[in-house]
Amino acid sequence: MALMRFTFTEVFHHRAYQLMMLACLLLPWLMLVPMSLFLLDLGKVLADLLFTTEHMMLAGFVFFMALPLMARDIEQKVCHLLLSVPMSRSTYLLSRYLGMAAAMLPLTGLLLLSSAAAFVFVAYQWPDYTTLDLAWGVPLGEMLLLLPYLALLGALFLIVVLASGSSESMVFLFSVWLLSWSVPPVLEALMRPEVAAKMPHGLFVLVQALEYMLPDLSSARLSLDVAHAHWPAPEMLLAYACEHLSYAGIALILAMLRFERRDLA
Amino acid sequence: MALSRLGLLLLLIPLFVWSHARLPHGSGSPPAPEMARDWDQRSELLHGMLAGPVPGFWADAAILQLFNVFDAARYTKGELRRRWWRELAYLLHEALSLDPRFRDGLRLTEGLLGYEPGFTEEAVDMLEQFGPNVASGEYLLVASFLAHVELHQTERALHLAAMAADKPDVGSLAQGFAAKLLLQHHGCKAALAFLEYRKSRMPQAYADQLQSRIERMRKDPACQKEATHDNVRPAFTNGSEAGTPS
Repeated sequence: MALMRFTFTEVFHHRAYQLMMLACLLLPWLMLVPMSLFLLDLGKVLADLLFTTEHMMLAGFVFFMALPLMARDIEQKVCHLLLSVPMSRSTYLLSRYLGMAAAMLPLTGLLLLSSAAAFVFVAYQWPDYTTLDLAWGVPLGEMLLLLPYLALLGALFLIVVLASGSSESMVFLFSVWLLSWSVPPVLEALMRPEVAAKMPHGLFVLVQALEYMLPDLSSARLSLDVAHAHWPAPEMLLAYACEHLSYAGIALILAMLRFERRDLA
Repeated sequence: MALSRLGLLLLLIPLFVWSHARLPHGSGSPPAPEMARDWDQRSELLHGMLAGPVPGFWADAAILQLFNVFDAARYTKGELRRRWWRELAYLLHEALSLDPRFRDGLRLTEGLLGYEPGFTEEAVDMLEQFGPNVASGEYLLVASFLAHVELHQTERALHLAAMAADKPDVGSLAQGFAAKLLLQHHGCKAALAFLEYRKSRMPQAYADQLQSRIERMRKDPACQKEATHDNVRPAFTNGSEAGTPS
């Protein structure tokens, strides 16, 4: 618990993190400028812009705050200082994970509140081009978009304990992120009957296996549904939450198993 | 040392400003397309991969790019004009394939692509494919109108009008139009009234295509002849009059 609080404080006092918090407050209002260029679907366009902002913010957090901190801990042996107190390696990893996951919450919370306020403003300013339902629908959608990044954070911990240094960790994490970004649309296309008929079955199985191994960052359908004020079915939301949380749990347990045996000398 | 650094700084700042102002990104217009891009299954897959978890944003970006392309396409003539319009059609395909419920994409498909000679059939195909995804039936109704007046495909027009008639907002209008088709009372007056109605629903800056189509129709000798003989009130002046076959 103490290390979790320490991790949160360590991240919170970074100037980059404080700038990100400020950006989360201001960006929803700045997004009104590109939104006003469109003709009809103003609410939908604002929702798209806010979801993209959240993806960029959370990916930035994982790549430029969480990854350097963990890589430094292991590469520069900072973790020795923390492991010298009676604390198991697994507890160390879990506390670090929970601290970083907790540090994502203020970012998402500020973005969520600012987005809700921006949507209320848009709904009163241009009532014919949006609906007030988006003022609560989009912030809820933003909360759901946090889940894939908890899974990516789990993948980051697994990569960091497997890799030899920060450069290697960055390359592997970027590869995972890139594949997670692009594989789901490919798989969706391959599942179409006209494409599946022309493709060797082995390739299909390979792509499907790859999709299971990677965190599912593609919340594309959910984002589109929420942006069009169509709230997904509760069972779909439950499956979505379970998928990401279980992926994060699996990656973290594998990381703990590997970290227990890793030579830190 | 300090003075030489200051002197160098004073020299480099104007140099930077001078060179920055001369770079092509200052002009604001997109480069002319060197070759026409056709939308196919591979393009759909590629854009799906690039868009990843933010297809809505990617569709919005395609529409923003389309505004620039339209600005260049409207004043270009000849072969280059065709390439610009091909590019515009590609961007509309991109926006609608990534977000099939995007009403701005549908509105621009009917308002711009639908009235450009040589692209009407493609616009009708797109409206037929994506129109059923939105709650409003106006896009299917326009597709029906375009299929009848521009493509002379009456059976297809009837099919699209029937699809539009299922939607609550344009039900009576679609039925009126379908009835007109069936009764073969689809002269220039009805077509002109319909075009004026659609023009009234477009922002002024994007109504040029519709206006030029209206003017072409008004200059048509057959329409001028009809205007002198026929005093029947148009059916598409507003929603309340729609559905009353003349």
